[in-house]
Amino acid sequence: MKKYTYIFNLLIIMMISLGISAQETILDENTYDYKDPNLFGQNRPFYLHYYLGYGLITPYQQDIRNEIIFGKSFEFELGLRFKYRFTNWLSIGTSMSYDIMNYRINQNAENIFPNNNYYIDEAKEKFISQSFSLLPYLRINIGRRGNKIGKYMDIGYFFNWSGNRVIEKYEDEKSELHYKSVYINPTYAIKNNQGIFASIGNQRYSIYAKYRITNLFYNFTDQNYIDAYGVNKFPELPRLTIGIQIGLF
Amino acid sequence: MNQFKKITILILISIFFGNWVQGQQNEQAYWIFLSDKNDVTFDPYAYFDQKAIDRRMKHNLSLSHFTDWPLNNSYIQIVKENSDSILGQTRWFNAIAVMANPEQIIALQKLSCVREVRPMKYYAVTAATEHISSTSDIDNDKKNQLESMEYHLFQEAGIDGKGVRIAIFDGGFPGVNTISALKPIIESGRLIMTWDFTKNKENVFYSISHGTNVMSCIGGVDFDGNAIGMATGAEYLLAKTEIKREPYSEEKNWLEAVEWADKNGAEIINSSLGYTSDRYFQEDMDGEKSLVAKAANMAASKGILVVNAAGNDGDSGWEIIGTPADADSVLAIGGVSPESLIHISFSSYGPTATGTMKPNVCAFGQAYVAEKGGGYSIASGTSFASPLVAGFAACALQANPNLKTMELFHLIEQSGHLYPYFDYAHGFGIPQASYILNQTRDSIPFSLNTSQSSDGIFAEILYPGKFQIGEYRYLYANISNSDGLIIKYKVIKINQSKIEVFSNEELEDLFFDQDDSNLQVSFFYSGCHRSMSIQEL
Repeated sequence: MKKYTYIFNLLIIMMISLGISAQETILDENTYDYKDPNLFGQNRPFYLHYYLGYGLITPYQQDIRNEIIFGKSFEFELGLRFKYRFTNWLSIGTSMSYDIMNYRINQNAENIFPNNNYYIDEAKEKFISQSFSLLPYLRINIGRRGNKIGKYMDIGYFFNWSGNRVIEKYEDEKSELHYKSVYINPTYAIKNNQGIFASIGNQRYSIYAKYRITNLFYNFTDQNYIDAYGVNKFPELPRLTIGIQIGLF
Repeated sequence: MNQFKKITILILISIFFGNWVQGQQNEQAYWIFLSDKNDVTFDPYAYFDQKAIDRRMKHNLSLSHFTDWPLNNSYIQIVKENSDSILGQTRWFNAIAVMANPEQIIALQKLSCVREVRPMKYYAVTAATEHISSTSDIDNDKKNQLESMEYHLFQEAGIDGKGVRIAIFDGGFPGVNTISALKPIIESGRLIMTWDFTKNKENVFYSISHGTNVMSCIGGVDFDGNAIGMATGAEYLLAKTEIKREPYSEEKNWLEAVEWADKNGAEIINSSLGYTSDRYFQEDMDGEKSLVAKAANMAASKGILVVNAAGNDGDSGWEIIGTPADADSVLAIGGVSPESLIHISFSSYGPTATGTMKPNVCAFGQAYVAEKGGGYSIASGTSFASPLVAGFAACALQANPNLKTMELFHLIEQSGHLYPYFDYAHGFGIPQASYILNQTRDSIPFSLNTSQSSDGIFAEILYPGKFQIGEYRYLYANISNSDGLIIKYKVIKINQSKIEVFSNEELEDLFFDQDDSNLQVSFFYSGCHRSMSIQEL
């Protein structure tokens, strides 16, 4: 009998040493403070959330010498949006985002951007602008709601601080000629630009439009460029982007 | 640019913008509250079912109360002329639901017969959310969902809710008229009446099966004829008030349904729905702001026990109960895990925004339910805890037929296995049939000592005998402030006689946060309840 008691005690010690707890808190709650409503929330004074955006750069007002390929020219953004609520229908806020604008250049016969050197069928040319963007906005909410984003309309103004790249790629399967060059921060590209923003949304989904007001390109300072292209500066790339944003909340 | 792409984009933008704008259309739904009920006639014997008359007499209520009178027909006509269409009406609140544009609303506000105009709220139904799943423990769950409330005692006493009329408000009842789980009710003619308030027709045996699941938890049976809900002998009224599972619903349907249930003699209403963040803030959950909460309270004042799911937002950002579970006369039901009988993660917490204790009691938040096709499954949600208690309430009422509504309400609270201890996750715990039948509790074979030392607050269970290896029990503890509001609560799984319940660090934080020197701690352990004041550190 003593032997069994010994084994039993040993088992207890083993189980304790294996971490079996003699007390375990399985519910531990602090009562929400109903007298002091939360300041943070979708329809509270302060709200902050991440968002993703994807838009297509539209060919609106484009110059034939610097056309984009619609559908392959896009904007992608990952951002953080802050909102301060004044009333149930009026808020202000700021979005901060990392933006990529990818202009895929159409290789037509008149194309002069970023150059007119290549055979038009085999060349792929892109102007890529990666930016940190700051976008203050005014939001008008529509409809009664509880602690929800609800339906809204935003108008805003954006400032971009960009790093630009021009990529030229030439691939000819038949001649096995391959060529790729990347120009980082070309001198003719403007690093800062601005524009207006508008969107309409419901909860996490919205449709937005951005229109760049400022130019993307400086006037050429190099007479060789002027001579080569017959213009003082590259024609502007399209300014209007339309897309969707999805709030991550 | 490709013309097709242009057109596609335009169409997509148009669709989005169209949908967005659609919501902003001028025409909206409103409640038009009328000023009086002058010149109306009311015959309670023609209007009410005999059961409704009996219930009023039991509660010493007038048979001809202002709130039951019909609306003034000439006022209805005037409102009709000044709006696009009439959606419905409520006698209790003397109001008409209309669709109207802003110009019409301005005109309506000027009418002498109009007391108030209020936009109607459309809400998301949250408590009806459920997650059907299969589990290997189906037999266990089936047995325990009723036995956790000591069903066998009702069974032995021959109590099955007989003679009690229960109304169920839900999103649809497909299969109720055909499946074997509810066959005894149908065949014995105890399905008294049905009405679809979403389409104004009698047929409710279609749409989502949530109502079928719920009804089976009140009075259904399994393949062997064993009860899966306690009220197998009760009578039923079925109201379809929701459009789909987690839909945008109209409070109009709920209001109309509650009046319909009252008129047709319901003594208990089970409503497995709740309205939360789409239209409300948490501080709105005060039992007053929503019309459904007011209607639920009015139903209680007319002798109907409203049993409502607490909600499934415990693990969401909302976290607390919805409305009408916030109404003080509504028996709000939380959910517990079938394994531990401790709060199940999704069950919404209390209290209300005025600090009223909610949920009142709790039941299994995961239940064995009948499906529309004739099978059975396990479903999760306080939607199913609520009907389990509604069935219990029907049995309690059959056992105590003279009880008035709020007496029944309090008796069910007192029957909770934690009573008089409570917290905002479990209320008073799971109702027990033994208390309903005998109104006494078993003697407790041990005592609970509590103490405060320099390390914190301790509880010591003086148990005749020792804890066995693998034997775990649960100690409940809460701290309340001088207003009686619980500010912190815990459940601790224990396997030793002396345990630390609150550490000094926790107490310091509470004293700091509360700025209150009169904090009280309460304990509950296997039927034993203790309280003590906390010495300020």
